[in-house]
Amino acid sequence: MNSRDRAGRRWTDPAEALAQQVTERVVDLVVGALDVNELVARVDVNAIISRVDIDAVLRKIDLNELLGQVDVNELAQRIDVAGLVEKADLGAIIAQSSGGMAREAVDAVRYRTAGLDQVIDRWVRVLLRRKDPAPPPLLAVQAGP
Amino acid sequence: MTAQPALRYQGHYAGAVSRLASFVIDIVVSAGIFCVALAAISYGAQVITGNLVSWNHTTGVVAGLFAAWELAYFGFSWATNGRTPGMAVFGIRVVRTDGAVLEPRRATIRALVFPFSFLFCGLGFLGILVQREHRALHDLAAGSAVIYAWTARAPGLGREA
Repeated sequence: MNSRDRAGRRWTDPAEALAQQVTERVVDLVVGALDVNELVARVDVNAIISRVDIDAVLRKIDLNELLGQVDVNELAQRIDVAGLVEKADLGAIIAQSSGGMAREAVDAVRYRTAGLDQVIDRWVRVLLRRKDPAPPPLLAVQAGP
Repeated sequence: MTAQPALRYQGHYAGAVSRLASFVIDIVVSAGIFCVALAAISYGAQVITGNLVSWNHTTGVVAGLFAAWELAYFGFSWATNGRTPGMAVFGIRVVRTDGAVLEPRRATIRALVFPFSFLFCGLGFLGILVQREHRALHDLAAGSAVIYAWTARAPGLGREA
């Protein structure tokens, strides 16, 4: 650095420091004078969101790359399985599931036996050469208890 | 299984297979309860008296007790629910011939006549096969009929009858 530069720096450095102090002071004054809550309240978030093309944003995201960066094993280790099981009331879930299965099994048995009843009824009707139609159902029972 | 075929059977007269299967279940259940009751009585008597109590099956006492128990089992079930546990499994129910709920009086008559259907190689049950409304001798005597009374549990079809 030559003498001319040194003389220049002697003037510019204080000027820069002064400018920085002035700027910081002005910023402080402006920020202090602003009511940020009021500003935020004036912002129409819905209008902003409606302008955003979320589909386009999602298309740009490479999910495979994102998922590749996730350490699934570490995540799995963090899960409190025992706590989840405790909260899930597994007993009720199993009872509900097995109850549904039992009901379906009973329905299947009923359906099959009723089908066999029909088969035997048809055979008897053929053997007896019965041509009159089967009697109508007792509809009163369907509406009853 | 869809709900439509199950609804197709609703209210129709139950056939021989459903009725026989429910009867087999009822006999197994009622005989099981009877045996357990006899064993419990024997055990209780043994605890109280200190002597070994056993039932002599050669005398008519056990047979009479069993007959009375079966009468009570079937009669009570038909009178209170219109069906026995076996009939509940197969979704069938005893009703009056007009479809109304069977009264206790008719249920008692049905239970009393029921053993007579077994006479002459089960001749009284022949009606289940050949009669239009599948009514056996005890049904004819009590003015009852047995019908399908279940719906498949599909959404919107209501609960089991």
